[in-house]
Amino acid sequence: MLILIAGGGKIGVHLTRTLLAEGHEVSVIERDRRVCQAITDEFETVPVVIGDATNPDLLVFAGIQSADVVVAVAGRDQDNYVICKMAKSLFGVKHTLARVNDPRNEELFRISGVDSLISVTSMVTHAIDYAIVPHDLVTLFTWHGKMAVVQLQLTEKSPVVGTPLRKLDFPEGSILAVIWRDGEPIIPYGETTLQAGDEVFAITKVGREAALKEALLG
Amino acid sequence: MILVIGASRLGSNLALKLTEAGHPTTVLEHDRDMLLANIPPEFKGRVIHGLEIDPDVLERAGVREANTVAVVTRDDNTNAMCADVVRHVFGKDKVVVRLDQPRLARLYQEAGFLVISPINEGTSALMDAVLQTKAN
Repeated sequence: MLILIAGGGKIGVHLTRTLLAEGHEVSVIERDRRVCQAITDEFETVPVVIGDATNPDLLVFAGIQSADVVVAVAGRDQDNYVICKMAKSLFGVKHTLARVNDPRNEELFRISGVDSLISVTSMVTHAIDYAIVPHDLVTLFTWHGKMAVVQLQLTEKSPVVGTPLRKLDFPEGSILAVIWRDGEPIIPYGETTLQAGDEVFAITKVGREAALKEALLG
Repeated sequence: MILVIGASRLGSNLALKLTEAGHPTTVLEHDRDMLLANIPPEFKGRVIHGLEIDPDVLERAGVREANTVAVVTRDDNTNAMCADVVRHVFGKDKVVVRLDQPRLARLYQEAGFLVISPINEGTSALMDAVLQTKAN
């Protein structure tokens, strides 16, 4: 898969490293000359274009016409917005992904057909909020506003503690994915029994969180 | 009311001319230096300082009451996104947007915006003038 990374500074360097390790082809367009140099120094084979990622001619030069995915990770929301808009409307790129700083802009990105959003501010806000305020259920991640990965902490009062999973009635629309116990992940199966103190990670349809919380925490 | 977004020389000139012609006008700009440099004290309209793509700022600038919105900052990407916020978030259909990148300009024209490209139009005019001078 050819992935075009537009902007991103240091994120771009790390992303390039990760994607190459996964066997993808990567191409980069970046304004900052030093970042471009760092990428070229580390990965000799990666094509790097120095310049404005919202210039269609440079996007072509960076290989957007054969890109499967365009990742817009520049600093400003309006730049990522235009990168994705051009990728979709001018070059027919199938999958566009944008970093969004201001969560209030997310809706507009979706309306404009951006396929995936990375909301750094929302993620950091959630993480800080969780660290400061005790929560029963924390949403870690949402996908297209319809699906969520959530985390819950079980206590002695949780009605599910001590019963094997196969005997539990899990609410419709969610599934238990992983149990975090004593610093290790446990992939649950029917005989697994939940314990007080377990951190439970579940995948749920958005809107089904309350039912899940009721079932697990009472 | 007419909302002019961006107080570049172009935007501020537009706002001044509009108020002189008797139209109530509001100017929105994030750069205080730009406002100081380009908006004279005798300007009769309202001036709002804030980020052009921020929906709360746009609300404060009165976008809902505006009959027409002219998005004319010097930055194409800000203009492109701002024009879409004005249209999709606030449901405004009378939006004039400045875009100099030709392919972006065409994209927005096709989407029904009234697009102006001062650099391209200025260059064409200059080109004609230069060639005419050369021919004479």
